[in-house]
Amino acid sequence: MTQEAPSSPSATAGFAHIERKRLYIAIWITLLCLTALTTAVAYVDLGGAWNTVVALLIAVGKASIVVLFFMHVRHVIERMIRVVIVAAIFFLALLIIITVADIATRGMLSSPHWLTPSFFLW
Amino acid sequence: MANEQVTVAEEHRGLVKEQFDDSLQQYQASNLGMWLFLATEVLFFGGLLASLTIYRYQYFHAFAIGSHFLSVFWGGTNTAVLICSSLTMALAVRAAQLSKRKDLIVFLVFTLCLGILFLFIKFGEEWHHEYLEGLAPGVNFTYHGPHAPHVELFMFFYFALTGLHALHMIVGCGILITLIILAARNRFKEHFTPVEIAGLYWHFVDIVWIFLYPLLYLLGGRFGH
Repeated sequence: MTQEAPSSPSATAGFAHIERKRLYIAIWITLLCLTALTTAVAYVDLGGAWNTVVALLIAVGKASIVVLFFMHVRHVIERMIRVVIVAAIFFLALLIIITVADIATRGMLSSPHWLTPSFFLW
Repeated sequence: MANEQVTVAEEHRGLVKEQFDDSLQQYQASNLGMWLFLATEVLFFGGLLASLTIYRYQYFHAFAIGSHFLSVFWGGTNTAVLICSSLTMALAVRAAQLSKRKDLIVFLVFTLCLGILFLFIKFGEEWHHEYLEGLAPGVNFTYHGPHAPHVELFMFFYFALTGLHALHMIVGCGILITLIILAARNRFKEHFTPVEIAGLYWHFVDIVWIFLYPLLYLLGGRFGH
């Protein structure tokens, strides 16, 4: 049984938003340039810590571009998807920030003597 | 109007599963389901990334030494390879949306080739080289310079993270092969949902690498060594 195919491209796509090919090419070039940039910046002495910050900012920028354009979140039809993305980022941030905060502040305050193991082990 | 046409075409060929009202609902549910899976994947990699952050904070110099053993050239090349594969995947999804079967197959094959090239560089060039250099912890680790135990720890992170990422790439290549076979059988005519969610997975794996490249290869800068 043959179904009559809709003739125009937009009709075939139905509910999805179709990006222009030129936009994808522009995104691709941007991503390649940012990769070159992040590699180049690594060879410039910004004092170690700032190198990491710049590298991570570029990585976040690249990831956002991929999510918005290649993964179609810019024109996403289901709004719950945005909630899922924000939740994923939130819980990753929670995981890293809380753990780092714990490690970084250990030993800053001395524990009361009755909390130390030797108190219980007479 | 256009939606109705597609809906009729898809339902006619049994492509809308019985639990869904129509193809639009199936499309939305499939997309949301894939995004939920990707959210769990973020936390799957997140455990390793959080521990990498902490150990790198504690053993900064050792991790910098370990990082400088890695090849920025091959790491950067692989980043470019994955970005190119993301472009071809996005174009494949676009071809599926437009029901252009020939374009779809061509772009899927391109994506698969780039994925295999990535794995070839990763295993054949990088891992092989690092193994021969004595940088493979537990197998062949011969570095005895300063901070040796913590350099080994860094290499553990390197192999665990790139290995986990490579595993996702292998799964992705399997999905691509399946899609190519189904596309050859004309299964995606006016029905692009499977291609679109496979695309989401492929782009996600690309994003993971976008973070792994600076975190492992460019850690704390490459200057002065």
